[in-house]
Amino acid sequence: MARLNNDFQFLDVGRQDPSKKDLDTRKHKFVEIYQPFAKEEVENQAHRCLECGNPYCEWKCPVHNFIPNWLKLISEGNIFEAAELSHQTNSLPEVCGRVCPQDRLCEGACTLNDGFGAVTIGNAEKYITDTAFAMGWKPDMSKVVWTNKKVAVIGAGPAGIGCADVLVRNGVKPVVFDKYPEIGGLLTFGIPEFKLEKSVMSRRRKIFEEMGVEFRLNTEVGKDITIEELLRDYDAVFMGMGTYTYMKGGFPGEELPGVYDALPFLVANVNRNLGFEKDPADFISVKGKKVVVLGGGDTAMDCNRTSIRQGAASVTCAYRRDEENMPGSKREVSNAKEEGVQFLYNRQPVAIVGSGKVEGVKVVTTKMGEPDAKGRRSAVVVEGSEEILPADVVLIAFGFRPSPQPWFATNGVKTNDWGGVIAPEKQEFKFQTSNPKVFAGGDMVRGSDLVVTAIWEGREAAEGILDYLQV
Amino acid sequence: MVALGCKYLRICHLNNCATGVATQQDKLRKDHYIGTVEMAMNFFKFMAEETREWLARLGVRTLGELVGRVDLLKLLDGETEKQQQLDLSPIIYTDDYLATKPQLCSVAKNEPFDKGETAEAMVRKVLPAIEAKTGGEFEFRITNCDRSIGARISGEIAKRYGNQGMADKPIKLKLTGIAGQSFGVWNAGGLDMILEGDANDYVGKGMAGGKLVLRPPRNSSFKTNVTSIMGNTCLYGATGGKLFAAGTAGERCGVRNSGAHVVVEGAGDHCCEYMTGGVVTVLGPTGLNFGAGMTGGFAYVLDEANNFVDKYNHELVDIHRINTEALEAHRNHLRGVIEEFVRETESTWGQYLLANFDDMIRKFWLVKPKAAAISGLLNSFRKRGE
Ligand SMILES: Cc1cc2nc3c(=O)[nH]c(=O)nc-3n(C[C@H](O)[C@H](O)[C@H](O)COP(=O)(O)OP(=O)(O)OC[C@H]3O[C@@H](n4cnc5c(N)ncnc54)[C@H](O)[C@@H]3O)c2cc1C
Ligand code: SF4
Ligand code: SF4
Repeated sequence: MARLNNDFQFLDVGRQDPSKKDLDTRKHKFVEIYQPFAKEEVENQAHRCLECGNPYCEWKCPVHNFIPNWLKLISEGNIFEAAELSHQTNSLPEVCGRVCPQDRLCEGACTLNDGFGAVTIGNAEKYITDTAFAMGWKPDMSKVVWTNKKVAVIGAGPAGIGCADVLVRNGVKPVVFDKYPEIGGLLTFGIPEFKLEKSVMSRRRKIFEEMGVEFRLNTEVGKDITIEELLRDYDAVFMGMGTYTYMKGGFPGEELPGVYDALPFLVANVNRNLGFEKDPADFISVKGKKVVVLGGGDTAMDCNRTSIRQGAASVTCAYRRDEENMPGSKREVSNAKEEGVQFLYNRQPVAIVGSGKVEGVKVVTTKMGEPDAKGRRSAVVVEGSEEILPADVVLIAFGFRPSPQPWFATNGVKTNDWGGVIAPEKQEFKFQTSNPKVFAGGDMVRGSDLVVTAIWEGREAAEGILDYLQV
Repeated sequence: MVALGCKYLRICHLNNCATGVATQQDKLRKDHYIGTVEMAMNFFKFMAEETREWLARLGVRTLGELVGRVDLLKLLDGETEKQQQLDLSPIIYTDDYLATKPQLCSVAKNEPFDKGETAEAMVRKVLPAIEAKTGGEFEFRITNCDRSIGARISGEIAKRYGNQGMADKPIKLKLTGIAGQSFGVWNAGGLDMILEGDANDYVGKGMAGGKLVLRPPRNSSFKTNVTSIMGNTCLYGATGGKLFAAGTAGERCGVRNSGAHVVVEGAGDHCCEYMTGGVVTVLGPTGLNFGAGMTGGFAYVLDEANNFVDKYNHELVDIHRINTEALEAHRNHLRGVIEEFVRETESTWGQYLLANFDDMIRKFWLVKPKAAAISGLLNSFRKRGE
């Protein structure tokens, strides 16, 4: 095929996402819903990029990927060069390509999002690494000069992986501890397979191990090994432990049987699919049941869509504000709608009702009130709007707060008033905590956020550690 | 431009600006350009406002009062190591002696040598016909010391009636002699100038309307198609009007033309450079680099030596033969253009071309921007009234 050369590609060829699998598969199977891009498709899509002098996409992307540059490499068919470049800024590009809320990040900022259809950046990013791996590409470690330093990384989630990636590429040996049996953190034990198939992480694990990262799984710090041992045996410690305290609604009935927190429900489902299930009683089945999901973020969407796939009789998602204000990715909301989830907006739950077990969720309708003196509008309850949504299972997805461990304080690691570890980016050694030898990043520092922001903090913290270790 | 929607894409040279600011592509201009006059007005208003705020904070009333006030400047440390090594102190140096010296230019303005007397005399004669809006015919002799001939008259017309205000009742000047630089600059619709002689650089610069005709003196034995009749950079930035020159033009003929129609019998290098609209007809050889940066309008070029392919700039334009079935409309258009040229200039070369049209048409090229469809070319200028 002749090399693409059309300055007007963005007009002549519209934005085209890869096609989705048929709805029937999507409603029953825990597999990714998008077909991969074909070579010609992705080249034609990548060639739509204008190579803006001031690439808005790149500024908006939290890890500042060299987006126009690798789009150009793809359109020219240079996959290995694109993969090399893509890994200069991102430790898990094929994951971000799948799970980033691109509509709020790179693609939302793309110049072409204004009236032409943004470049399909996320899918292009995923294509690069998936294809390069399939062709046998591996990160080039031949120029790495090994130092004699080693760093303990707690948590094999995106933050820990980002940190280990930068350390190992700079010749510092990372040893990553995680209490789970597989790497990935929420990528494996949280985000469901229809967004990210688990083979992606197991392939990654092999790649990282070949690069020199050591993983010690099924090992909980504080239980199977102590922080004091890590501080003694390693030159520095990075913590990327996430946020695992579930937020509650604070209304009556939350303790009724049939009410579950989102994450245990999702993790139990993954454990069954991956064969990690320890006891069949841990599995939470919603098959044939009426499910009400409370919340409007990514976690709520994943509960909705997991319930559909388990064969729930109905799935209703009640969110306290309007659709416009939903925090999650718009793409996932529309995927959920396609798959049959019913959405109710402006519904504030006030109680979960039932005798001995859940029978329904009592909600009131809210609307935006008159602006106050400062011009701010807050939600007010519409009088007489109380109703009960019938339910056999209620899944609560109100978000997560940090879970500070007792050993933080005893080792001089300070936390702030909401439990986040204090480790600012802007200081001499980026992301250092109040214990000079301990660094931290990801959800446990910034509060639960995104995969890509956790990767960024892990990578930046590694820079801080390298400076601290003077390598 | 940012105030009008430019997003700093830095692809202005490709004609595909997605904000419609720097492109001739119709769809982008029509559907994606968001700029309005008010946006530019607001921008300048706020800029002036902010300048005033800064002046007020510095305790001065005018920008002039700030000139030379180095005491108000403070050296910053510099953000990078390299910046920190710069010693900027000489720039803001002053001392008691320097302080006694004037800070603003205190010499009288550098008056131009050319007092424009011929042009003023012309205005005096013509003005009644402008004020009465009757139009009329006048005769003058000019020399190459007379620059910008016609500009004063165009100004009087435009001031009263707008750029095209007297197009239906034109002032017609019959001139003999040699025109100095910028003959017919900013020409308004309503001023037709027929010059028997020749002209220097910048003929028709910024021209908006009307007609300029250049032809050699009667009884001269020049062969017009090999003799220059006007200098470089003619029609620079012209937006409308017509220029017929029975002779060859210098370099950069039609540069940045966005609407004027010109017919010449030959052209130097860089003809139609950065052209965005209008029609250029060259009835003879051109120099090199024809059509560089050309994104709009089109051109006809007579290529008897069959070497135009090596002369035009291939980046943005392509060339087509006119003697094909598909281009019949252009063939008729070109014939009309040459006929008008002959009517205005009585060019012998033009007459020869018409007499042998069927033969000569085979040697013409149509030059157009790659991004423009042939089918739309004639329509696009008819629509815009060019
Ligand atoms: C259901 C759900 C869906 C989501 N969907 C998206 C999405 O679509 N897109 C997106 O960008 N983000 C999404 N997120 C958010 C994203 O997953 C997180 O922001 C991100 O994973 C945070 O990375 P992290 O490395 O900071 O923490 P985590 O991913 O939580 O990783 C922390 C790791 O530390 C380990 N750990 C903790 N304590 C210890 C200890 N004491 N000893 C050993 N190991 C320990 C944990 O086992 C875990 O593996 C979602 C989150 C959830 C819950
Ligand atoms: S990492 Fe996320 S935000 Fe950045 S380019 Fe990839 S998909 Fe977009
Ligand atoms: S903003 Fe869009 S068009 Fe511009 S460089 Fe980025 S991907 Fe390309």
